[in-house]
Amino acid sequence: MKIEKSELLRYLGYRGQSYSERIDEEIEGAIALCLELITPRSVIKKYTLTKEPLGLDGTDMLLLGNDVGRHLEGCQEAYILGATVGFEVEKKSSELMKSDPLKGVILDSASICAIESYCDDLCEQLQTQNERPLTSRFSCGYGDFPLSQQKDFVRVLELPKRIGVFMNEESFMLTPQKSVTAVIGVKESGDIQPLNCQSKCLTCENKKCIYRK
Amino acid sequence: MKIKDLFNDSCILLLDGAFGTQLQKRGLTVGAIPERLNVENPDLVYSISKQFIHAGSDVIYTNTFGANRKKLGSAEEVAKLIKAGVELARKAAGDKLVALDIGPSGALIEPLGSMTFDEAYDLFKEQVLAGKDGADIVVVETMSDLYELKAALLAIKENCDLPVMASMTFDENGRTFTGCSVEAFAITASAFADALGINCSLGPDQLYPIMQRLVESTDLPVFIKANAGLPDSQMNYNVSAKEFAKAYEKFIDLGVGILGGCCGTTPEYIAELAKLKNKKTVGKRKRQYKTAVCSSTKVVYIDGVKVIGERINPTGKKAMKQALLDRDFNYIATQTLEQVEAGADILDVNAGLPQIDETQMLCEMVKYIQSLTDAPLQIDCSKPQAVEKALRYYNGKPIVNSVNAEEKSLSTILPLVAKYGASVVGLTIDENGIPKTIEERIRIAEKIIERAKSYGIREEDVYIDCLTLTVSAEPAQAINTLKAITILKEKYNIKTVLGVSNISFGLPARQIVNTAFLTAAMYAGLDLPIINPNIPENMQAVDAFKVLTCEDKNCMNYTAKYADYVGSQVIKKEVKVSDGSSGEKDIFYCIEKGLEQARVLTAQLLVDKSPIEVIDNYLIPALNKVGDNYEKGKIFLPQLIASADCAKLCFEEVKKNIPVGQESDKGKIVLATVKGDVHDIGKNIVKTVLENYGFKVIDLGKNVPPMTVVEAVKNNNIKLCGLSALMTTTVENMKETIALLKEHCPDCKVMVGGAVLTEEYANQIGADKYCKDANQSAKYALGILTE
Repeated sequence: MKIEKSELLRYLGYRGQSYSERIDEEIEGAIALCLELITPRSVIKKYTLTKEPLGLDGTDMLLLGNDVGRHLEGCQEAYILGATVGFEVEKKSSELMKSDPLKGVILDSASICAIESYCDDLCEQLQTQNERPLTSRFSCGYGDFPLSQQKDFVRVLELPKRIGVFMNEESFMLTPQKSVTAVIGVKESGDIQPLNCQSKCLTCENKKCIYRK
Repeated sequence: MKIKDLFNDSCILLLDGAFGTQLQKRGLTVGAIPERLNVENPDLVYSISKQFIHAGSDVIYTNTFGANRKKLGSAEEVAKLIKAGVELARKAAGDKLVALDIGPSGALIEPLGSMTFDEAYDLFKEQVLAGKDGADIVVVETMSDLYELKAALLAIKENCDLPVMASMTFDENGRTFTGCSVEAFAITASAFADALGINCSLGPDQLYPIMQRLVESTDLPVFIKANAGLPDSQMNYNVSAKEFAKAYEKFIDLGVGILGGCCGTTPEYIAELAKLKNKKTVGKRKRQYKTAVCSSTKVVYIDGVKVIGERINPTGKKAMKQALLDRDFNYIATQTLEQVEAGADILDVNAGLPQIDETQMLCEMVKYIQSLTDAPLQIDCSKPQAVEKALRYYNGKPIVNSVNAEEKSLSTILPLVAKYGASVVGLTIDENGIPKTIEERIRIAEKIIERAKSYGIREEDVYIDCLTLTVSAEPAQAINTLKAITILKEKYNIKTVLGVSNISFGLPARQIVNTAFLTAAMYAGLDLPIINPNIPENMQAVDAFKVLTCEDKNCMNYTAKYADYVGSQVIKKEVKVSDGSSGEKDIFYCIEKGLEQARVLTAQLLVDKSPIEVIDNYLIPALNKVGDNYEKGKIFLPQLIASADCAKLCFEEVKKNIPVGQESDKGKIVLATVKGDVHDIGKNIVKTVLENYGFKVIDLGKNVPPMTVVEAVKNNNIKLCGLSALMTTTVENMKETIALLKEHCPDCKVMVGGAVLTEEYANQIGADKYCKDANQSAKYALGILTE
């Protein structure tokens, strides 16, 4: 788990501007504070995939939409993952937004870096446990994989009970906000690709995204 | 029947093991609702309960853990499945006991989530009413949010007479997912439950240290239901039945007499535990009661001087009074955070203003302040109805300030203090008014202590206030107050509390007398001074006292805090006029770079320019330049915020120069994150920038129902409203809010923003303006409101 300064700057909309020492200190401070406040937790389960309809065997969970199907092509099994960096860092950012907005904004972005880095670590660990190559993470809201499927992840992974992640039934938003659910396929053949989030940007439809690498 | 009657101190009472684990072994589809089996496959449910009974369980839980309306969809379904569940357990139990099992709702209560406390209460009430007939006990388990637990416990206590067991789920650090510590759980829930426990999450070895802390923090019987270790990704657990029972022996030695298992434990585990019944006797528990108050995440032990911050009280405070009248929660937020920063341990909250509905306002303030800070609160009110409402919605154990020795006060407030498990301030006043002698004070205090005890309130939870009388008017009383404190502290296990600053009323240089009186009172035995922590002399007196009484070991805190101390004038950071030395730049430069020096430059400009000139010719153009730079990508977000922060200092400087009543109003703007959206960082960035342009922002927060937005716009005659939505799923609510606004307040413009919005999308849902960032909102606001 690490918070890369370059990643943090990217989330803050950095485009090579020169900035003061003070801002730099704030960024370093936010990284340290973030690492102190996060409580990373995750739950991962492995399932055999059912075909037509695509779903997880032994559960009532289907994986809807064409894109997730394409993502899991050539996979017989898949992991589903739920992960979070916890409530505390989020509470601190919103408190800071009231007393010191500059710190609040930077801490919020730092916690995005933290959850992304944590998920990368988890995926890397999974890959080391597997001889076969894993796909990248695929989450609800990517392509036509509906956001409403968040509730299936929450239910099947028992996220409230296992890692303290809750879902708003109206918007399917997760709380803590810095939480991720995803499916990761286990491919039957092929080469193991290094896991990084470049692939995520490459496959994303939103070409105008300001965070695009 | 109380839990205490169910077993005697040396006997072991056996609970059951995991139901879900058993169901999944028998092929329950993962993700399916297990409670449906109560009607779809009752034989299976019955047989599992029966196995636990055979294994030796004295109490079995019903298969109703998740049977709430959120998960099942309707109240009818809840009633049906719970009734069936209780009947099956009853049938299996024979002469053993049945516990109606209630788990968390699966949703989060405000402010973390969008469910209200009352909605949570109603969910649990349905469960209680459906299952109380046929059950011997109600058990609430696997809770991670103390607030939700409180809603459940109130729903049980107010809707049935059965004994209640309550258990929460903790991480290895002794906190739940939402940050509730095991001590805060014990201190808060002891008032509402008959036994407290820990269940799930970890195996017995990891839970042992947490159980030690629980045993230290409550006098109630305690219970444990550990997992069979930790699961792998195929959900296999790693502690065997024999290992499990072996590990439980330590719990029994500790005084934990009620034993069961959670995830991964089967009847075999219970059978192993049953063998301990003949082998072990339950260890004796002995514990020194520690007086404490708490929020859900922070416990404050009253084991030395603790400071109660007095600022959130309109009495004699013009700005706070105005804030309450205007419902200006920003001001309350500032007062809250400042006092905690200055060192207050507990915050007094008072909403006593004749022009407002105190019951409603006090409750809203308590809810709001507890969302901002983890400092415990003191509910400052003597109206029973308002006190009860505030107590109900408080998340933790608060102080009620206050009762006096008049019958009417004692008989209305003390039952509430007892019901909600609070501490209480007892003012030494009775029907005859304010006492003149030490003896009278003591007599009145004794009456309050006795009456409190008769309601089941512990002596340790009574904080006596011997009254600070104005020394210039009643010269003899200051000493009497101090002496009474000393005598009471020697005679009783009470704590003492005192509002300090009243002592100097009418005198010049009041702080000198305040500091002396505060110091003397602490030596006399004052535990809880109610003071303004923002006044350095007050905190200095407390800090010095802690050094002199060895509470501050090796002067560690004192040294850390005052190492760089060079006198109070410097600490206050008075604005100095710049000497024009190196690096001084003009105000445009300073705002652009976010330099605090901008404040000094503003002060200098104000020497020969009017406040309006400074705002219109310097501050706004400087901010506009920053905005342009941001738009062109010359600066990025932290720099925009730093500039905005800096401009805020300049506006503060300008405000000082505007006579009261002539404040130029750039206009008010309502901001809200729409219903369903529970995250609001984007909206908060917009708020910061708008405020720093000099606009007054009425921030309605997140998850705001459409009608609430309309009401705020109407009541404040608002011309511009900003809405934010983060998800495609909540843009619908944004659309609805805009439609309602256009219907009820056609003059109000609506600007929108948020991750998923685009210009086109904004047009489709009827917004007047799409703002892609905070800077654009400020520009649009300038156009609309300052035309």
